[in-house]
Amino acid sequence: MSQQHQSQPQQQRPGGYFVDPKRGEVGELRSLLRNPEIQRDVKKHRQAVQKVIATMTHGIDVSPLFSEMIMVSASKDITLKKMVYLYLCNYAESNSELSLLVINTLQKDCRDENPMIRGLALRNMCSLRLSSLLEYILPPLKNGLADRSPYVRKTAVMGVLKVYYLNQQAILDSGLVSTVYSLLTETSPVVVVNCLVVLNEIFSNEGGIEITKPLAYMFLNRLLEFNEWAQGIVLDFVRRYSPTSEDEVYEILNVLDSRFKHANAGVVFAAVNVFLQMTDSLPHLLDDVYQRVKVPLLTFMSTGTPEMSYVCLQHLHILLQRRPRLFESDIKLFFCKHQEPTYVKLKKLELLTDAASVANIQDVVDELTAYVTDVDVEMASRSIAALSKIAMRFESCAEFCINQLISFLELDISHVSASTLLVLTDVLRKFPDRAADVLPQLSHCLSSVDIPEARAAIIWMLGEFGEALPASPYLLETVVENVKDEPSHVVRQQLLTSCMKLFFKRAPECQSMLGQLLEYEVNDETHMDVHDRALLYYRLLRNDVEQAARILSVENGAAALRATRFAEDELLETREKLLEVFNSLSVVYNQVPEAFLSQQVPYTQHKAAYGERYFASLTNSSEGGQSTHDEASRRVITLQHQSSTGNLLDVEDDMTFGLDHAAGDASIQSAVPMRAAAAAAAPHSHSLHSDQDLLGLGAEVAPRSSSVGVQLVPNATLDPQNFENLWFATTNSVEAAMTLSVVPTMAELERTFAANNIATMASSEELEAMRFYFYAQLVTGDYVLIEAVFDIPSQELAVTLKADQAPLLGEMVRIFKSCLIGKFMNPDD
Amino acid sequence: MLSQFFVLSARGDTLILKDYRGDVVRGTPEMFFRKLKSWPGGEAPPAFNIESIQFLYVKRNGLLFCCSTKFNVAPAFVLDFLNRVASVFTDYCGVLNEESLKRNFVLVYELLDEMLDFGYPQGSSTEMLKTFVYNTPIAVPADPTDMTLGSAGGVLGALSRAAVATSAEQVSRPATASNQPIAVSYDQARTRRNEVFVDLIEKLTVLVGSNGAVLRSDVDGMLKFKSFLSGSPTIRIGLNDDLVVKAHAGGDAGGRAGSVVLDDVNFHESVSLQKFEQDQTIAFVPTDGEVVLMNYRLTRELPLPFRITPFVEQVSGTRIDLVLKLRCEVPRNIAANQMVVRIPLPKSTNSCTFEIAHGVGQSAEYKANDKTAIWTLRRVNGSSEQVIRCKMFVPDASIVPALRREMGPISMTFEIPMHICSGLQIRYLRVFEKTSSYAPSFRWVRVVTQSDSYVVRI
Repeated sequence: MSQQHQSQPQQQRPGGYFVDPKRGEVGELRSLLRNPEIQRDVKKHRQAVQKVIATMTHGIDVSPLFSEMIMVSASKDITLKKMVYLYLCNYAESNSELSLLVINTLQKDCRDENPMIRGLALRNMCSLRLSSLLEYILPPLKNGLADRSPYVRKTAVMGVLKVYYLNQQAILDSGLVSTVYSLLTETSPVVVVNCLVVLNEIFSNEGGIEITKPLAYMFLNRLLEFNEWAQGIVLDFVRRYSPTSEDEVYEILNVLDSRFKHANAGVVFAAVNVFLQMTDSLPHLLDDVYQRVKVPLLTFMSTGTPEMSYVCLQHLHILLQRRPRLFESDIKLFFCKHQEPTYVKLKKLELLTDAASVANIQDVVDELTAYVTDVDVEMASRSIAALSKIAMRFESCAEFCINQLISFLELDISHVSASTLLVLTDVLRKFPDRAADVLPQLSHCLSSVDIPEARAAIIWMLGEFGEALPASPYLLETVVENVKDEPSHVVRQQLLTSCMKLFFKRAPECQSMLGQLLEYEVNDETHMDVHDRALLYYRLLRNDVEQAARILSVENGAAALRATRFAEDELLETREKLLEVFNSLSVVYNQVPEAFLSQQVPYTQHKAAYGERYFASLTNSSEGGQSTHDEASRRVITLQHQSSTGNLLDVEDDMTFGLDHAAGDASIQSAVPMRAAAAAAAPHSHSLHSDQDLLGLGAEVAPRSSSVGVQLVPNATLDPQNFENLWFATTNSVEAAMTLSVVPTMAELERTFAANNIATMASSEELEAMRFYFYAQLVTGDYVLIEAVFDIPSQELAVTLKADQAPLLGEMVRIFKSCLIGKFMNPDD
Repeated sequence: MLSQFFVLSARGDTLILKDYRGDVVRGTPEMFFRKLKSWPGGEAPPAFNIESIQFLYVKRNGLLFCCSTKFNVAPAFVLDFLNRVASVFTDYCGVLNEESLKRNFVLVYELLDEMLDFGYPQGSSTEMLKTFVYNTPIAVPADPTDMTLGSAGGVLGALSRAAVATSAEQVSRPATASNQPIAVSYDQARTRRNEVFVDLIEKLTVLVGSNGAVLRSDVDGMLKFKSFLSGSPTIRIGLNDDLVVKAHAGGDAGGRAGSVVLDDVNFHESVSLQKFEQDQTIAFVPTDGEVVLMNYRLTRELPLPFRITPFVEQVSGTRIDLVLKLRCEVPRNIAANQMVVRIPLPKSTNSCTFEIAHGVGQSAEYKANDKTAIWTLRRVNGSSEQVIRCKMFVPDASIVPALRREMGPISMTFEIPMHICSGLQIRYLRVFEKTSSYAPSFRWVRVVTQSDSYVVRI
C-alpha cells in the first residue's frame, strides 16, 4: 500500500496528464535551486530556499522539488539546513523512498562537532515519521543519549518517544528506555524533564512511571533549577506522590508555597493542585489550604487575559463547590467588567449566584439587578434566572428579590419581561402568596410580550392564581377571542388548561369563554396535540365536572415536580468529581475526561484512527489552507476504496509502517470523490434527499433478514471505543460493492438497517458521499462490523465487513444486500 | 501534549502551522475556525473540543494563537504558553501583526522548532532562544492606525513615551522606541544603545452605584521591563519602603497608615523572591525581550481619578435631559488623555442633542443604532470640571424613573500618564555593572493609569 503512495507522484511529476496551474512556479523554483551561481552565494541560496518554504506555507505543493532540496541539505550553512529540514519533515511521508537519500546527510550531521547541528539533525531525523528508516535512526539516537551536550541529549530523549510511536517494539527491545530512565537523575534539568514526560507516555498504561519517595524528593529539591514550563510538568508529577505522614505533607507544602508567587499560571495551578490533592484526606487542613490557594488564582483571574480569567473562574467554581463560603469577602471580584467577553461574564454570573451568602447577598442582588438592563440579551436573561434562584435559596431576601423581579416587568423591555415571566412561574410555585403582586402587571405584559413561552407563562399564572385578580377572566378572554391568530401551540395548549382551571374557580365568568375556546380548538386541526387536549377536556367536562376538576389539580402537582432541577444536581455531581482532575480541561468543560477524550492508555496513534476517519469525512469539505500535505497525498492516492481498507489491515499486521497512514488515508479517501465531481451536483442531490425523506416513512417494513446460518440479535449495543478496538483487532474482512437504484437519505438507510438488527455506530454526510459504520451482533455474541461508503454521483455502495469468524462474512454480505433489495436496489443486481 | 500549534488571522487564514505529533487530522485550523465563528451566543470560550480534539486559543493583536491536543492538558499552562509564544514572536519581529509574521515566517518556524519538541514546551525565554536562532528578523512598521504616539522622551522620573493606547491589548505593544526586534547577532548588539524601558501600568476597575457610592475599586498592576542592554548586569528597582503584601504577610496585615497594601503579587522567574521579602526591591538579571517582572492586585478604597455626577430632569412632555458633571480629581499638573465616555440612553430615545464646552477638544455624538451617546475629550486637566447636557427626545418623558433606569451605566476609558492610583512608586532603578568600562545606560521609566472597567451607574 505504501508503495503505491510513493510511486504515483513520481509518475505524474515530470509531465503528468493534468496541467498543474502551479507548475510554472515550481519549475521556476527548481531552476533557481539548480542555478550554480545561486548555489555559490549563500545569501541568494537562502533566498531561493526561503521562496520554496514560502510557497509551501501558501498551500502549494512543492514536493516535486524533493530531490533538489535534498541536495541543499548537504550545505554547511545552518540557516539553509534548518529550512531544508522544515521542508523534509513536511514531505518525507509522501516521498519515503527519496527520503533515504536524506538519511546520509542527517547521519553525517549527527556526528558534526557543533552540538546545535547534532541536535537539529537528530530532532528532524526522528520527526520524519518514516518507520522504514528505523534501522538508520536507532544508532544515532543511542549516541545522542550519551552526547556530551545537554541540548543533544534532551533532543535524543524526545526522539525515543517519537520513535516509540513509530515502532514500539523496536524501542522496547533496544534498551533505550532504561537509558532514558538512568538520565532521570542527571545534571541537566532540560534533559531530566524530557525524560520524565517520555517515560510517562511510554508507561502510560501503568499510569506513568512510579513515583517513589527519593524521586519525589529529588524533583522537589531541584525544582528551582527547572524552567517555568518544566516546573509545571514536574509539579504535576509530584502531585501523584502520596506522603506517608502529615508532617511530610507540611514539609512539601512549605517547599511549594513560594511557587504561588510565580508569574506563570501553569506553575501556580500545578502547585495549587499539589496542595489540593495532598490535603484531600486531611479535613482539618482544608479550610486553611483553600484560603491559601484561592489568593493566587484570584490574582490570575483579575490580572490575566480574559482567556486566563475564564480558566481561573472555572477552577474557582470547583473550590466554591467544596467551600460555599470561600469567597464571601471576595465577591466583588466576580462583578463583571465592562469590556469582558460574554463567556467570562456568564461564568462570573454563575459564581456570583453560587457564592452568594447571607453576608453579601445585598451586594449580589444589586449587582445582578444592574445586569438586567445589559445590552446582551443572554446576560439579562441569565441574571434574571440567577435572581430567582437566589430568591428560592435565601428565604430572607426572597421578598426583596421578588420585588425586583416584579419591577423588571415595568421596564417594558420585551426580552426582559419575557425572561422575568418565565422565572416567575417557578418563583410563584414556591411563594404562591406573592401572586397578588405579580398579577396586576400581567395585563400590559400580555399586550407587549410576543415570545410564545413567555405568553404561555402569563396564561399559566392567570389560570393558576386567577382568583387573586378580578380582571383575570377578561384577560384570558381577549386571548381566547384572538385564538385563531395565535400561531404558537404552546400558548394555545396552556390557554386551554388555564381556562379550565379558572373555570373551576370562577365558573360564571369563564363558562362562555371556555365553551368558545373548546369549540374552536376541537374543530381546528392545525395542531393535533392542541386538538386532542381540547377534545379530552371537552369529554372530561361532559362526563363528570367534579372529576375533571380533580384531574386538573393533579396536573398542577406534576408541574410543581418539574421545578426541581435535576440537570443541576447532575452538574453538581460532576463538579464533585472534577476536583480529582483539577488543573485540566475537564474543569473548563465541566465534564469528566472520558466524556471528551478518545485517547486511552497506552497511547498509540492507531487508536486515533477510527474517530478520525469518521471525523475527517465530516470536515473534508473545507479547502485546506495549509494543505500542502493534503494536496500532495491527495494526488498520490487516487485509490479505490478497497485498497485503502486493505491498508488498515496491513497496519495491524505490521506495525512498523504507516501508523499515520491509517488516519491519513481516511481523510484522503473521502476527499477524493468530492474533488472529482462538480460541486454543482450538490444542490441537486440535496433536493433528492428531501424528496426521499417524505416518502421514506415506510422504511420500517423493509424485508426482514431470514437467513438460517446467521441470526442477528435485536438491539445490540457496542460503544465506540470497543468498536474501534474490534475494528483494528479483527483481520477477517470481506469487501463488496453494490449499485443502488435510488439515492437514499442517510436516515432512511440507517432505519432500514436498524429494522434488520444492524445498528449504526456513526455516520456522516459529505458533499457527494455518505459514510456509515454499522455493527450487528450474532446470537453467538460475536460482532460483525461494517463500513459502508456510498458515493452519490455513481450510486455505488462500497462495503467492508469484518468479523472474527470468516465463514460468516459471506452470509452477512447476503443479509446486508437483502436489506437493500427492493427499496434501494434491484433484485437482479 | 500539544499536537499542533497554529496562528490564524482574524479572517481565518492560516499564517503559521506546525504539526508536532501527527496525531490529529489535517485541516484542523479550518475546523477550529468554523466552530469558533459559529459559536452560539457570541465569542467562544478559550478551550473547546470538536470530537476528541481539544482546542485552546488566545487572541493577541487581532491574531488567534491556537493549539490542538488529544490530551487532558492543564489549560492554564497551555494558555500561558500560547501567550508566551506570542510575546516571543513580538520580541523577535518587533511588532506582532499579520504582516510581520508573514515576512518573518522562517524565523517564526525556527523559534517554534526550539520552543516545542513533540508538543512539549522546551523553553521560551527570548534569551535562551537567541542561541538557537539563525534567521535575522525583517522589521515591519507597526500598523499606523494603532501606532502609539511618542511624546518628548525624558529620563528617569520625567515621563516619556506617552501612549494613547486604551485597551490592554494595545498597551502590551511597546511604544515606538522599543518597537524594534531584539538584537540577534553580535554586530547588531554592538550598535545598539544600552537602553532599558520600564513601564508601571495600573488598570483601574471602578464601579460607582446610582447613589454615588463606590461599590468597587480595584487595581490590577504590572511592572514591565524591556532590556536592550549588552552584558548581563544586575538591575534593582526600588519600590515603596512601606509596601505590604497581604497574601504573604498573613490575613490581617493592615500595614501602617499611608502604606501601600497589595492583596497579592507574583513575579517573573528571574526576580529574586528573597530580595523582595527583605527590602521590597526587585532584583534581577535582565534577559532579552519584554518581560513582566511583577503583577499585583489590590482591592481597596482608592482616591479615584474621576467623579461623575449625573442629574436627570424632565424638561417637557417629550424631552428629558441628562446632565453629567465630570470632575477630574488628579493633581493639577497631570492630565488624562483620550477620554471616551459612553452613555447608553433609553431604548425609546428618538434623537439626542448635546451641550458641551466649545473649543476645548471635546465632541459628542449620538449613535442612533445602539442608542448611545459618546462624549470624547482629548485631554482633561487635573482639578478641572467638565459638563455635558444630553437632551433626549422621547415619546413620553413623564416616566422619569423608568427612563432613568434604562440610562447607563456610563463607562469611561482613559489613560492618565504620570499617575498611579495605588500609590506604588518606582523609587529608583539601578544598573549594577560588572565592568567599569560599561557604557552609561539609558533608563526610560513610564508610569500610567488606565481604565480597565470604569463604570458609573445612573
